Amino acid sequence: MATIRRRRTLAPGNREEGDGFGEGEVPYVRALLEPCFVGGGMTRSALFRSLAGALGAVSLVAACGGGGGTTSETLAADQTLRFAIIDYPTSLDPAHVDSAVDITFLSEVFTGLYKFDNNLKIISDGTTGMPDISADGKTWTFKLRKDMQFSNGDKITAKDWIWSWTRTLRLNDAYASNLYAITGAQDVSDGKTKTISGLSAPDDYTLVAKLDAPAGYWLTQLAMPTASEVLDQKVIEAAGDEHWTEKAETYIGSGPFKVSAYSAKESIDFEAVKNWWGGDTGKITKVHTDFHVDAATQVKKFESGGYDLQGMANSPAGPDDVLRYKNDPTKSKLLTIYPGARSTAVGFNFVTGPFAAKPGAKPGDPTNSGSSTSDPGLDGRRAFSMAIDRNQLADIACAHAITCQPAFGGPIVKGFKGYLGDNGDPYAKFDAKAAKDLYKKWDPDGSKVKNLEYRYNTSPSNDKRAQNLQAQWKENLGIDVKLVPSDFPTLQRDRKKKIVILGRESWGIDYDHPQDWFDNLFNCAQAPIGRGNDEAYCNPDQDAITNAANAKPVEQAVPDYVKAQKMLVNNVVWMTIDYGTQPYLVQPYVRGAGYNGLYDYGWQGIKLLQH
Amino acid sequence: MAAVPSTVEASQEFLISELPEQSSLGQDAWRRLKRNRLAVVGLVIIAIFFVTALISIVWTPYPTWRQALGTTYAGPSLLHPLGLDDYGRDILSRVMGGAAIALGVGVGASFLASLTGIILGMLAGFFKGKVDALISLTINIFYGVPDLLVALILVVLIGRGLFNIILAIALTGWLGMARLVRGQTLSIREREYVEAARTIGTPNLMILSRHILPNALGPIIVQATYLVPAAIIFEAFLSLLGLGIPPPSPSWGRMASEGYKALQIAPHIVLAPCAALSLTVLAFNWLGDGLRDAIDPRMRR
Repeated sequence: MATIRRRRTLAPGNREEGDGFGEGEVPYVRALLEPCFVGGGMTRSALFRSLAGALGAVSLVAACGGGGGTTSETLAADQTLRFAIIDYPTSLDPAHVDSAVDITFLSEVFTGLYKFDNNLKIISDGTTGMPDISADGKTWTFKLRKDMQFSNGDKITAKDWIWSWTRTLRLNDAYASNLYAITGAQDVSDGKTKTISGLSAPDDYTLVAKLDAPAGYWLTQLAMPTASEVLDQKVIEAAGDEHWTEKAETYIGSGPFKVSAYSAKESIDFEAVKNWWGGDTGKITKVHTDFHVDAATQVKKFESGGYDLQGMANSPAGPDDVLRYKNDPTKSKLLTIYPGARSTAVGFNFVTGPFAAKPGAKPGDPTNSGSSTSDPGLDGRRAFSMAIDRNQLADIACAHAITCQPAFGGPIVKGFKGYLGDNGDPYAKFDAKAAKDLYKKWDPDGSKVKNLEYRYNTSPSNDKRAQNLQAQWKENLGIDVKLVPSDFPTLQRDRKKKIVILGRESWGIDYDHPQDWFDNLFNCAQAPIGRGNDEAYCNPDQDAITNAANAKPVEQAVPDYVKAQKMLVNNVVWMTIDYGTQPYLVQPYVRGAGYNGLYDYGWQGIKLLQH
Repeated sequence: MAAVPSTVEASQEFLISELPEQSSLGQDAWRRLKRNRLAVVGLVIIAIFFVTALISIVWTPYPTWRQALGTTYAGPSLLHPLGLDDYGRDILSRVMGGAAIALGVGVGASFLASLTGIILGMLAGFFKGKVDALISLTINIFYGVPDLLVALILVVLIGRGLFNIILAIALTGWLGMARLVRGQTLSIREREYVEAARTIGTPNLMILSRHILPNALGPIIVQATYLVPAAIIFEAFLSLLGLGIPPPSPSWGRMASEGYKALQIAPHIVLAPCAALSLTVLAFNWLGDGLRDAIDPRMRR
């Protein structure tokens, strides 16, 4: 099981309100009917009416996202793609990657065994097909492509994969846990041994992994462009483990693009790899990315023609700019809003404070069970959740619900595996009277919530969410909650100490599998101090369900995860308030750019028309 | 028989009746202040804002914190004459509430800064020597550190409550007052009436309070008046940086900070608090100029 928490730290996305499409009309129909999935004509309810369909629809969006290229369109002579990101990459080393920003670049420069296509379907990358999995689910055999090579010409064999994965485990950073399913992997992470006992290479192009237990989620983890990418041992050992990413000449990968220039705090340039082993690298020949450009400045430069795209690498335009584009008939054609993959919630502390299910319990000890009814904080948590009108919150915090959608279906985001369904969270339904009655029953004299603080990390959208929550709790429960903003590291530190009583929570999906949620956020293993279950909620009955589900193929496991998630929403571990969306600004001459719910579309599919 | 007034008495009465009516320094200043139109306009504006601030403590058209009163970013309407902000809050109510905060911070910080400056300035000017050296050194050191930095550090350390903001602003605002009072005290302490008081054994505290302070009061009042708008601006700036009065309190600076982001789609959000802020600051400056002219003895000529 994963023991290291991964939390993507970037901003949530955006979305908008009802477009008048009928209930039965799924987004892909709409995508067929309209030239693009544009904010100007799109509305909130339609956007999320069926994200399950939307994941299919995004491919169609891609086809139109920018106008749907035809063979008669004349390409621009200069195929240099230009965009900026708000942050810096945390690391360009696949073993150290920790954010969506990093992933944007890694997926273009490196190769894994598998990857996601624009519909989030898992497809082969460095393999010739899907893995051969033994009957007991514990032995996975991968057949590797024989034509693979790094951009410097070095051949890639199974030994390179073993060396790369061993290195990732040795460095043991955020996504090393994607390899923990392999027998002996954690021993390498813990420094007990230098080789992964469960990983072997019978020949140069076969890789065999033995697992501790069947892991239905592992294929999804392998497709994530992070820990499982293949690296060039020779180059890294020559340049140094911590320095090989610093220079273009030593930053060697096997993807369709390679770095041509890199200035750590300023910008990075890429160029297509000539004679790439994978074949055609697409029309884009160069990519230039500026670092650390705030969203408002990016939009200005986009408007002056300095950038071809805005919103790449999880750097969305601010709500006010998005609203400005949406309201302008001409500009709205440049705006595309995609379903996002982030949930934002309010978390309650289960061991300390008024909402605790088991006050005074040690973090990591069981706080709830399937049968127990002893939970002194439950009514308070439910009252706080029901007192929030999520439609109002999304309207205010997300620029008329463009940059996020109200959440009524539990933590797992709509459209992704494990989603509870619309109105699947009974305590997400706004009912001021019921909330007030429940609150009065729980805390008749107001003593429990005296000096109650809401902790959050400050950002334009988080500030708005916090102020709206404060106003709604005051209006609907008569409670004054003090807002305590801080930077993200401070909040994160206190969350992990389990001392945040009431605080902002958010999770950007790493991959489309419910295991990503439970094993990182909601199981007992993550409840002790220092781990990722910030609420210290521990329900062994729920763990039993998810552990069993983890061993099954995802299709069979989803009902179990849904059952586990119902336990979560009934216990109000998180009161989920919104699901993010992802706004993109795309110049009219750009074709093929977009977002698949988790990642930007690959650069191989993008082209620039004459303009 | 009634006594007939002598010639001398008659001429004395005649002279008294012919003399212009005597007035105090204060009455004289007030008369000249009233003749200064800008100062009067400033005074009226300040009075209006004070009344508004007092009213807002007990009543505003809508609670200043209540959100979703209508469509967010909505422009002015009959129900909401100044429109709604990005939270759907009534801007008029918040501008009214903001007046109480601005004037509270302005007057409070000005009072605290003035009190500190007067005490330290008088001590430095009166006792001179080591006391003066120590206080002057402190003033010079504080002058060397940017006001904003001091205020920011203090706000971060002690929190963002109303009193804390006043304290932070006062801590950076007393320097000018202290210098002014020190200079006044140095000058006044050499006057004959102070010498005379000292000669007859009047205690220092009494000399300071009875002779020096009253005679330095004119410039002090003018300086204190200028401190009010400076404090208001300072609070607005702290709010703009997100370190002012915490939400949902309707500080004008915070309103401007939240509103400017939507300048291109809803300029009315930033317009109202900025107009109120500018008007108040301008009014205090006009009044300060008027007071300076009215109190300055040279202006009598």
